[in-house]
Amino acid sequence: MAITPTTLLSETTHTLSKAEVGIHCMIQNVDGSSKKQLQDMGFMKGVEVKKLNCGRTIVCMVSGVKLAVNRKLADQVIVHTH
Amino acid sequence: MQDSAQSHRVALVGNPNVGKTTLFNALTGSQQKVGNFSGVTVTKKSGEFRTPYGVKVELVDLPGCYSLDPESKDEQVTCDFLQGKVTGEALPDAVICVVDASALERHLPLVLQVLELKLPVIIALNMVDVAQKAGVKLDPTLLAEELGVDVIAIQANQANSSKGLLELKQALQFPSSSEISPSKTTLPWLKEDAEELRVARGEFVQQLSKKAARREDQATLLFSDKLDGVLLNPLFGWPILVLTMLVVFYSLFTLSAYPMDWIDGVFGSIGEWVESSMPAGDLRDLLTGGVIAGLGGTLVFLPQIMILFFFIGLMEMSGYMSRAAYTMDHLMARAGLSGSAFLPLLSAHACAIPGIMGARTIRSRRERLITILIAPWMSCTARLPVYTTMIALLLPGVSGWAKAGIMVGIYLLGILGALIAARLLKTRIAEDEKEQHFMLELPPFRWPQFGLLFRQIASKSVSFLKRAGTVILGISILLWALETYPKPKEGEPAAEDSSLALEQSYMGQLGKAIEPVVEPLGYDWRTGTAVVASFAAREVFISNLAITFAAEADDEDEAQQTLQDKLAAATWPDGRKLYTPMTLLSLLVFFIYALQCFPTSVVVAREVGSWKLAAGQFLGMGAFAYAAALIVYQTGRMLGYA
Repeated sequence: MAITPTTLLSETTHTLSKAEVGIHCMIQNVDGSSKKQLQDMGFMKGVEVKKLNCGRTIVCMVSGVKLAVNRKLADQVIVHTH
Repeated sequence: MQDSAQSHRVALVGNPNVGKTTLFNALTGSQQKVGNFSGVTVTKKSGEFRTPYGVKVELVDLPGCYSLDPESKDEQVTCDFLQGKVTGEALPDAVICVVDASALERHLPLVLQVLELKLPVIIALNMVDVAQKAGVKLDPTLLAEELGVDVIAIQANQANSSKGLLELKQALQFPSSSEISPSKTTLPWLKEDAEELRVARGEFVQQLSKKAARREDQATLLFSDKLDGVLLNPLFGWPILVLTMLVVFYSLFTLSAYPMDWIDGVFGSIGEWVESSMPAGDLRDLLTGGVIAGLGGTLVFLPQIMILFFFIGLMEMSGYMSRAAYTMDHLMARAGLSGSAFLPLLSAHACAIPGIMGARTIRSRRERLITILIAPWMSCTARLPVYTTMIALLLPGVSGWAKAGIMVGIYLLGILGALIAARLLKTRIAEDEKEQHFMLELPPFRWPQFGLLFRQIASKSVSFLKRAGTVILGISILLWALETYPKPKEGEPAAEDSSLALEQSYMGQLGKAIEPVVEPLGYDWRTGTAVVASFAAREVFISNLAITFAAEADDEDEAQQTLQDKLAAATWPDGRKLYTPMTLLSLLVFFIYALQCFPTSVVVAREVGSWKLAAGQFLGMGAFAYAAALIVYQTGRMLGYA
């Protein structure tokens, strides 16, 4: 697909820690030393996650469960928003 | 189930906070036993019930876990139990997997892992009311078809919800077959590679959840979400937490006053009746001066302990506790800990032992060890009698709010010392091989189950009473004997002077021997011996003083004074007031920081696997407490306050 300004603006991929608050995101990948811990708590590829606040510890909603997640863990979750 | 006379074993499995314990209590009622799994310090709860067909079932409540790839002792026990690897425990005949209907995607992966073990499974779909409010459209029939197991919708927290429980019990007995069969599903997600298997489970669960648990309205803001908007806000979270703690301690002082006075009166009346009914002699003295004085001095604090357990249980059951842990995470990070340590440390305020055992949930080995080492600095309920008595002496006649404020200050002093110690310990303990980070589930706010809460309070109160009736009674009798014997002979000055008689007793001799050590802290030999005795059990401190000052009473009027009056009037031999403000502060500081509980040291040794470390903790805390009390008293003296 040709890269156009519209394409660049319509999809954004970043870590959960950098995601915007209140926006629904899709988990694209979970990668890092705490991968298993994150997957056990529901952070799986293709699952929707919504970040509820910012800070040292991030609160997010994933698979119907509200979780407080340390920023370093959130850095290991790659999400994309439309 | 082949024969109604046979007992069948069923395991209860699920994530933490899913309602397993509530379901367990609903099924088994009062037919419960608590013990340990063989070879490990993990609590095993089992109970019995009968199915509608008369089949006896032994239900085993396994520790909550997120997966069967264990990373903690509790998860390892669950994993081993389901594979029949726990010594002395047979493989279960069936497994009830409890899942939260409002968060199926998160709970089903564990169910899939249990299915992979080829065990017969029944799914208990709990919290269907929460799912409904969250806008989740459930299809239990589809879920049952796809997984090939029975799925029973229940609401375990509803006392009269016999429908769900009855169906669950019925599912444990097929009318036309003799046993529950393993799942009929072909486990389509199975893969050889562990990582691919985990991903495949996740994908299967997502596809299944889209059909069996559709989320219709993502924008619905529940009551929990609105409340979290306030509680998780840094501007409001902290003040609310501090206010909550103030209310708890204010209640401790005010609500407990009437029952405490009543208990005091009862023991006083019993003492008077014994005094008037029995002939004078050692037996009467033992009963009035040993048993009644010692037991009464401890049991009078039962109302305060019950109130503290009530508030801690209320915060846990309502869901507020995890919000408090989130609020504390930032502060605890400065001490080298995380919010994960908050719950065990808060539990330690009731008693250090469950707090230390609760540290098992902390993934980081270093953080777990630090939490265990500092947990005894959280002021436990055993210290309450000492704090209450000392505060009443320090601030006679002031309002409940002022006393509550002092109490909060005492608790904060312990917490501050613990956090500073944690910071220092972090530099001395080796890092984890794999870095661990804080992650905590924030369950929805729920109306507390008061029935369960009161049962827990009753159970803890019974434990306290048992301890009072055994350990403390035994120590009180021993202390009375040490303070009574050797008896002065007829004609000796001590025969007419009870204070002199006490000084010449075994306790008095011991006290005089250690007085040079405790005098720099502002204590006389009576206080010193009470402090030494309290190393066996903290509650004994007040009991010991009660026995000592009862033994000193010259006449009936003096004997009738309350302990507080006696302590307020106590003097050194030269007539100086004994319990001055600096002495009281010194005592408070000593009790905040000393580890005066041998059972705690035993549990520490077991949890960390080292008696050397436990002994080091005991001696280190004792030395620190002595130094702190010394600094407080001597500084006060130099400033002219002693």
